[in-house]
Amino acid sequence: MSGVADATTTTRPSWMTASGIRTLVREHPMVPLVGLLALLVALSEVIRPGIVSPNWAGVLLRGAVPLAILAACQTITMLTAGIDLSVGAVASMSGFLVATLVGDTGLVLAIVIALAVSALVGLVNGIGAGVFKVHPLIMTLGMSLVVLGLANVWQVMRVQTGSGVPTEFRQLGANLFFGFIPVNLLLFVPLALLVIFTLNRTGFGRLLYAIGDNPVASRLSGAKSWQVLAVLYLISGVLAGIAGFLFSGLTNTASVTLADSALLPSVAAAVIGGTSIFGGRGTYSGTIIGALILTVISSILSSLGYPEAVRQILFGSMIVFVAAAYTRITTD
Amino acid sequence: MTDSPPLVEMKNMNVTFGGVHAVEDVSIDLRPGEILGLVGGNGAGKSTLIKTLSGAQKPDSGQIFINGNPATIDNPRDAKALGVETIYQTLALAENIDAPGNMFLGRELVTRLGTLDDSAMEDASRRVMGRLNPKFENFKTPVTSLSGGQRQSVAIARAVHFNARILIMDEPTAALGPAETEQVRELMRQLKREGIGIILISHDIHDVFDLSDRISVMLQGRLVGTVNREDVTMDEVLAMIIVGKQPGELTSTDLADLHG
Repeated sequence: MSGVADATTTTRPSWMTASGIRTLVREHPMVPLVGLLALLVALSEVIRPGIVSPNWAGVLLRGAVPLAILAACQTITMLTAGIDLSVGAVASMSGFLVATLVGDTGLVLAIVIALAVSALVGLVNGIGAGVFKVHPLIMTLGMSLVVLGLANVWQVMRVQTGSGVPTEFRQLGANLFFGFIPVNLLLFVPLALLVIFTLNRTGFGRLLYAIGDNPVASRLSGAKSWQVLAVLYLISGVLAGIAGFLFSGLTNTASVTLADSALLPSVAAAVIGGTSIFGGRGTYSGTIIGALILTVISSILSSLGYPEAVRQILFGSMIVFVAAAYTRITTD
Repeated sequence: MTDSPPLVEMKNMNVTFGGVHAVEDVSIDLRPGEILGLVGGNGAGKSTLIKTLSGAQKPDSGQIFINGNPATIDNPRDAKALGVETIYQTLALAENIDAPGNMFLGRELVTRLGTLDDSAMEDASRRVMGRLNPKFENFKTPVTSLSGGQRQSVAIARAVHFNARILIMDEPTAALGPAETEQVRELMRQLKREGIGIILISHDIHDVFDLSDRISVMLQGRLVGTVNREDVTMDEVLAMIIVGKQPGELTSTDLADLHG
């Protein structure tokens, strides 16, 4: 194509220059994200012609939804310059609790108990981070071990037969309407809208951005940041608990380590989606695209026959690379 | 001046850190519509003294009266409730949030549904800003892209909107260029016209001399004295800051020393 050679000699459009790309990423972060997603879908089609179909898209979307919910936990906590590393353990525990309780208590009570425990773990995280000023990284990492340990104790106490995952969870987490619309969207779409609405349109959301942006300013302006953090991590815990239902339904498995492998991707999805780990900047819509991008990459890797380890290496590298790139782009 | 009680009266304030007497028996007062310059070298105790008024530091002893009434100020929230607002050197703005968002940070206006009322916040910001700095137009951009003077305007507008009667300004022009400094000075004159009392802490003796009605000088934790700006020369104030002598006590040797 001769056009490529011409492009260097003629005046480039503004988005092709370094500063143009910077402005684009800074002011319209969704454009490059959606572009990358489209590129990856196209790449999937190139690698396996004919693979892109409504069913393929539905299956990917179905897998991206629980990841996107866990990534919501990372997004909202990262806005305050925090992080929630307990989401993997909480999600596993929540799915496991329901599976082990449902036979005795019925579905509704089992769900209530699982979410209450998830909320409690989140509240402890929030109080640790907000009141006792333990860094969220340490606080939530510690709590993830506590949760895993308690789940193990619970596992020993309950003798389990079968997977125990309730049929309702399997239908919600794994089924597709008409073979291509994931049923879990029924839960996810309202949830995602609620998260986006809270971040953009409520005082609580505004404070999350402000606390991550300038904690001193928020304190001096009279905001009680410990209360905000306590509520924030509680919400994060509940979201992780909900994601656990979908994970257990999707895989028809209840295990105390089920969602552990989703922890790193949940951080990656938020970071790739443009949420700054230093706080104050990010959107949940970006994170959702980030989760989709990771899911498509996973699918490409597995269709090429690469093992799980390759995926881990790639995701880890992407977090580092993207975080570094965003820092360069958004600071002058 | 008038018979009305001073806006602020701080009597016999003492603050110690371990064995160090950071503020020793200092009394100052501030009247409505007045700018009181508070000057002194590094470590003179002026910031510590003022922190007892803004609620950031507890005094060991001393009394604070606001509008003639004894006041207990234990934290910044108490100070705000009494109409005392501090404009910090670092301005304390959230960089990625716009001017109205910053003005209402932690005190957001909401609609009946409980959602943020951005248009009401912008209107209120425009009203206050129209009074203070009519040229300000950047209501939709994050404050990180504003100039130093504009950011100063946002911080001051926030204080004024929430009915501050007493403003503490700590080095308000330290980081600004000449044009911006003039903008902030104009802002302070406007606040004065509205009857707000300002305590101006500054290293810049020119700033203090141009703007203040009275000047309080501190040296090594003690108050050297408070003088009317009209009664003194800049040299006399410098002498108070450096050698701690009242204008009347100055000798020609002291003055000669000052100028090296």
